[in-house]
Amino acid sequence: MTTEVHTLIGPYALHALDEEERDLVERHIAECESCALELRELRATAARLADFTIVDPPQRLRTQVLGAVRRTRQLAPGPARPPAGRTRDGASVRRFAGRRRVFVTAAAIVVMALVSSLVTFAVMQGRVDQQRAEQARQEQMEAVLTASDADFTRRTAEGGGTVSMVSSESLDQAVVILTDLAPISDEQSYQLWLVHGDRQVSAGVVPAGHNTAMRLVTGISGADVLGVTAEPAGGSETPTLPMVADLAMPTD
Amino acid sequence: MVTDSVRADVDDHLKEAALGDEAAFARLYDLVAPRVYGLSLRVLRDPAQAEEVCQEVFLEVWRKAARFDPARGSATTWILTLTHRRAVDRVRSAQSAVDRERRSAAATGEVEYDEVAETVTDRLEYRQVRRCLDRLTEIQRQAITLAFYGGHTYRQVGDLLGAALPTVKTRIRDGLIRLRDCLEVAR
Ligand SMILES: [Zn+2]
Repeated sequence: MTTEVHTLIGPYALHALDEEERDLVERHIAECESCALELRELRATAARLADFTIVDPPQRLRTQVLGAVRRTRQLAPGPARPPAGRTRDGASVRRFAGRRRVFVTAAAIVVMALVSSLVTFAVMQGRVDQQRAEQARQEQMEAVLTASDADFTRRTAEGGGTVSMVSSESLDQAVVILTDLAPISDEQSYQLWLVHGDRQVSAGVVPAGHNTAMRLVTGISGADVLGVTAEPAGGSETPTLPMVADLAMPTD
Repeated sequence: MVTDSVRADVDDHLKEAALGDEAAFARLYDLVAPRVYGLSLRVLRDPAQAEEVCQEVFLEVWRKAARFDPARGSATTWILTLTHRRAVDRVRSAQSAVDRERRSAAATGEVEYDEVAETVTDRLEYRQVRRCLDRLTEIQRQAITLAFYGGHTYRQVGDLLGAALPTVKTRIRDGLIRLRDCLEVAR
């Protein structure tokens, strides 16, 4: 088995393994100093292959990146990682406990504004029960958005608009925001899916006809992809393909 | 060597950026963005998606700057590893795989290898990598370029090359080791 794992270090350094083998290598590397060293060298080698594909990015990208940076808070330094082979399991638990709640992106701020306006709406309607439910939901979303391990991804959807996701591995939840997707009729709903390999589980249905929405998605662990589809109003048992957008769940 | 001093500068700028220095981060951006963007573009073959990957990568670098551990490698390697992982994740997600197939009908190693922007080819770093890739055996080079630039898993590489899986993974590994020695990658 050990010989087997060693030969996978090369493909691993090129991100060329499927998930199962990737887990196998990661477990081995945490315990084998010589493979960890080889991986560091092969990663540095692979990075040099980017010298071969240098292309100047458009100037607007620089403006966008530096603008986003100005609005994005940084994570505090984490506790030093333990050397390979020691206290691996204990360490990952402590890593979460040791972090502070510091992450707020520009997107998160926009989301918070959206959430508050939903709450205001509920209050105006005088629906107290719903208001409480909204408030609880808001608190859950806030927890995701400010989680110390929050990860942000965004994709352009087929037909226009964007799908953004802030996910927290430690909370096992994500906030998903659909913004200006292609307009749909009242006979259709956008639906979210968590994709585990070839299995898809519904992760919520947006009210019929709505093309902008925000959902809290729970139980994200083990999912590879978050997908969005257009379905008959009220949602479907299985997704209608092709997906309008799919976001790879972040891996660390 | 040019490359080494650039890499040292990136390390320094990341250290400053970790203290919240936005100007240092801008200098870091200027040094590595052409590699981050070029690599994303090569793997994804779609400028809009390549820009999205760049944006995600640089925000992640900014957020996690203070968590970067120089003992585990150079800042440039860290950033390009993040870039490659995100680009490959996108390639593997169903929708972009379809889009990408439309853009690139032929997925052979030679196509990946020979498509290079004219403007880059007189750069020293480019020439050095080219020289070292040329020293690999045909199958080593094809396996590495299909996996790295093509974003294929080694199983897909096996299918594309009609080679057995144990051969593919060994050729990737010994090819990378030969490249490492040729490029004199810092240990
Ligand atoms: Zn080992």
